[in-house]
Amino acid sequence: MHTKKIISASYIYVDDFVKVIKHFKSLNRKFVTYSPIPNHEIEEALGAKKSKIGLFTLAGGIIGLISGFSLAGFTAAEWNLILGGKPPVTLIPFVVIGFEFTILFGALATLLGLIINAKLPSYKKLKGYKPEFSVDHFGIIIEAEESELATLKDSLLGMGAKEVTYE
Amino acid sequence: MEGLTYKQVNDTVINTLEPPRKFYFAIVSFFALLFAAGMSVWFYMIVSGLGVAGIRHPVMWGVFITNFVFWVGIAHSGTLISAILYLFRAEWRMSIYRSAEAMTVFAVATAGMYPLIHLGRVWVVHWTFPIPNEMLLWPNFKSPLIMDVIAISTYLTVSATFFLIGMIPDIAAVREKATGWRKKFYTILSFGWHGTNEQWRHYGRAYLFFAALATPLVISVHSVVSWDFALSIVPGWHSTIFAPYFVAGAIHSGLALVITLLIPLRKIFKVENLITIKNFESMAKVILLTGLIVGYAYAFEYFIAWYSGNPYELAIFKWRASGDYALAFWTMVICNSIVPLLFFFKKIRTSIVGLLVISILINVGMWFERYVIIVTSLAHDFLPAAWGNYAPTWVEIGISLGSWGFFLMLFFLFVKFLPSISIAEVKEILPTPKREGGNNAH
Repeated sequence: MHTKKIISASYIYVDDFVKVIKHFKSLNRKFVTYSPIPNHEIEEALGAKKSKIGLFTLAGGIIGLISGFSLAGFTAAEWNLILGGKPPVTLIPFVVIGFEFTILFGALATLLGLIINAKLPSYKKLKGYKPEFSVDHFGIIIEAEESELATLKDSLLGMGAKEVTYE
Repeated sequence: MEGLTYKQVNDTVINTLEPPRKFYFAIVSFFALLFAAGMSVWFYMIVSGLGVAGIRHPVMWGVFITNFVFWVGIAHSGTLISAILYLFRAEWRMSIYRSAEAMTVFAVATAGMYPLIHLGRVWVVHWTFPIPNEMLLWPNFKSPLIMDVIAISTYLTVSATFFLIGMIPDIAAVREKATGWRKKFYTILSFGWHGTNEQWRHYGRAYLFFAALATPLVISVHSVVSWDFALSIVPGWHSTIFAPYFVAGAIHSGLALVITLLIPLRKIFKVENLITIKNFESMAKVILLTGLIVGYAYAFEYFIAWYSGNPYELAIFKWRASGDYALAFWTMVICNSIVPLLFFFKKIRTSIVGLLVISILINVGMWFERYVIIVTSLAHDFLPAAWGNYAPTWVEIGISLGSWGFFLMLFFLFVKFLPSISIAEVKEILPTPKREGGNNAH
């Protein structure tokens, strides 16, 4: 029976790390990368598309804008408090409420978007993750067959890995 | 920050979270006691009625509303530093924005107490929110006071979310070094962040949108606060420049308080290599700008009072400078628009003593600005027969000191439990560690 292993390599230099990503991408292998900071070179090497979180923000903002105006309009229509002979439902003062609700709902929707897309919160232990990945090391985790571990390890070390472990 | 490595930044910030010494507990206990004393005075006022405060006809808004506007103003610089300067990619914000943002959240929370205190019948505060009730009544959304409730609640929610989201990668870094109950605490608070590039991809985008939403929000909040005054017809309040005037004043006072708080903080935590004199100098330059805007607004109010030919308007402005509140007025003018001009001199804006003294004076001045605007206009309304002066009683002074206790207690708890300097963002402005080329931080 074949058992899958997790191989974890850590790098201290971004240029080395980018080369590793490009290498494994060209081999069409599945891997997960970790980094202590966001980095454009790594993002470009991964070729990831732009996050779609903006759609959540936009949807939240639109819902907020409609809700703000509707709430102010509805409550004004429920109780006709006529001031200065003006109609109870007047749009100009409601712009403030509409604006604040746009921001509030937009921000909460962005938060929701982040929770859904970045899969937070998730407290399960990640295989191959090392504490240094949150400090100063760039990490790559690759799922591998037991038979190819030695070759993979040599190749990762050859590309400048500081440490390679498997579990 | 030249020559620092990722690990050094990491360790320096995490070291600030080491278990504190007895002196720290003494300070936090002192502020907690001050807060408790303030709350006791509030309780006394609830039991006795608002009459024990100095608020009476015609000055129905006194120190409570002064404090409210002051604290909302203090909050503004945090969002300026964290959101607006983020959009402008100002690198000097990186090491100071976390503390400024914490200050924002705590200042809005402090400000939020004042309308409750001023309500008198605090148990009916829910009437200000659009909640269906047995009287079938709704709040009047055309009132700037209700607009303010919505604006401040939105500001508190959004700034607290922005603050907590910004901290997630740093808490993950702290989690890796923590032990015992602290490990559990930071693990929960890190929401399971591990820094996968997939997480960073969404996080970066979300952070950008939070900043983009917080930027117009911060400008709107103090504008709405200013409309509490400007939408009335009271002389000295009914003015179209109030919104930009209040926003500039808010940033003026907020940045000054950031300087006042960060000077001792960086000394106590020995983080002079992260919070450098360059950070303070940059803030001083912004203060110079806001000081000039505020000074211009003071002068322009007089010009408009004269040019409009409105006798009530001119009378109130003459009285502000020469009447019963002249001392408060001149404190405001000198501290807010004359003293900050000293920042034109590089020697002063790069001197710790100079920065500390001027920042404290600005905050004194800004408090008096709110006091002068609120009290003088109400004291001298249109009808001389209705005039009357105001002075705060011990109740207002006690509650005000209590709110300082509340704010400083929260700030001191924050600096010991959460990273007060952003680890991830400071790392971002260090040179990227590279094997090839001279861009090598390791």
